[in-house]
Amino acid sequence: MAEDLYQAQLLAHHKSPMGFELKADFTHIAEGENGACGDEIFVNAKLSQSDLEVLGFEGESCAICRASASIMCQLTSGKARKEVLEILQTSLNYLTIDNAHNASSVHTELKVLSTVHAYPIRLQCARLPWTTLAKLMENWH
Amino acid sequence: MSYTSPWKQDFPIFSSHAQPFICYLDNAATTFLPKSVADAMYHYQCYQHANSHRGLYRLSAKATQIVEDARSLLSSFLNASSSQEIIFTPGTTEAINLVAHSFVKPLMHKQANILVSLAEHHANFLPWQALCAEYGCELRLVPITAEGNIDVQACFDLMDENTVLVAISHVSNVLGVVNPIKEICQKASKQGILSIVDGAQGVVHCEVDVLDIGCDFYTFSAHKLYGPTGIGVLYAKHSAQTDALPFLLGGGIVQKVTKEKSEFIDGPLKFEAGSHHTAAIVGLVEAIDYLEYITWRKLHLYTSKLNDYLQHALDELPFIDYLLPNNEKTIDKPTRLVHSFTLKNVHSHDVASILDSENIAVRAGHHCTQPLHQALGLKSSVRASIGMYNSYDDIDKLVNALTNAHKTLT
Repeated sequence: MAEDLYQAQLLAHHKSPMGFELKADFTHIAEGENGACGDEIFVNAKLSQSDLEVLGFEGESCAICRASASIMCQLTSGKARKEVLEILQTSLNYLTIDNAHNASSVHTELKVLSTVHAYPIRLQCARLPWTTLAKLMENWH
Repeated sequence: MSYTSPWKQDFPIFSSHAQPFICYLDNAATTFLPKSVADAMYHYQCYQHANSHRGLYRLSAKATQIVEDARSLLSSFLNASSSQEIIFTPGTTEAINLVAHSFVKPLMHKQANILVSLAEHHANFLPWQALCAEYGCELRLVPITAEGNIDVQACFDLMDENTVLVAISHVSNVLGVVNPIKEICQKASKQGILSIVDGAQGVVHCEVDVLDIGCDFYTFSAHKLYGPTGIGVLYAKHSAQTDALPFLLGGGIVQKVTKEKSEFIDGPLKFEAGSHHTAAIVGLVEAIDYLEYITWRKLHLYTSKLNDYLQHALDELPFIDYLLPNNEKTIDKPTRLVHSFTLKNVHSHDVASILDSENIAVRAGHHCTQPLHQALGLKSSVRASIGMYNSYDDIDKLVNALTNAHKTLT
């Protein structure tokens, strides 16, 4: 049922997303798009040499993508580079078709997206913010 | 209002062990199969199958007869001059690619241009874009009017002595409008310009008379017309076929093959290399027979009433936005044959997901019309399209679910 996918915590992230249209003196930006569904996201980051100081996002995207981006901002803002990379890798691994049950090392907040596994076609929506962050981090020198 | 389709019981997918409760509103994408079509295909495949146009034995000759009788039937169906103008393809996409490579490419030159409407499905856009890119030519986009139809005058203004082809759709798979194809094709013909009509949606909703339309090519797919997947029809006017070489090369298309060269046969078989998908051809014939038995008049009358009801129902929803910029209620406008819209502040994907959870199937995305969506400033939309098995109940369910979706996500 819809309430399985759009459960209360996910909807909370969708309706009041963390980092959405946040204004800051960002240093890096990356764009991500799902051509098939029309999701579009811009991930903005203020990076120092060692830390991801501030993370925000904007763009037109579905509730799953927006909630996932909100969770991403919540989990990674203010974290050291090494920790951001670990969270990124764990999250991308979790948000794949085969890894619905592999949640042991996943942050509790990310498990809000656990219901998306029952709708494999929506996994690409949940992954988009994270793949965009990965793209951004390629330029983190 | 409750009114069940008189033909719903003909479709086995609604059986109790399959999808008895599905509210299927994605008929513009593909349609369900009546049992008679499936039975006809099964009967052919089990009891009559052989390779057509190859064997010298009676079973093969019978299969050949089945294919050629189908060709004649399709010729009458489209009012072509001759069955030799009917080419079987795997579908509309393949048909348009065939036209691009076999009929249009030989005419291309550096100064050539091709006209394609802004609202075309990618199947009737990408082949022309690729051809123009290959030759360094201009692809000219014909705009749409405020009502969503192809702008006829703009189309005429874009035609010149170097225009090789006009590519348009009979009915838009997103905007649901019937385009003025006769006016455009006849003007093109007078100026020596080829015209191709994507009839994938048109053949479902309109009577098609290719002689009256005056097009050089018209194509459609069986699976949008309550027939099987894997078969489509290309009408290619005889004059356009002259000297054309096949796109797909293989068996059944040659007079003689030597190490150095091949001589091709004449006629539609030249463009049908390989084995025919005869079971699917049988299915297409049965689908047309089934619909003609019902009569097109009854069918169009029924679906027209449903489209009208759906259009009015959507008009009443304050959170619905139509795709065209003027965004006015459609109550005084011609009934659309396909209904595309967005919900205020709700992504189309979410709409489709929530509707799916209530067993309602609609399409969400760009519907393979990215240039159109870009021109309208949209990333995606929701599309609902009626079929002959739908009912007023289905529309009522859709409206309730849309209301629920909007409430859940805002």
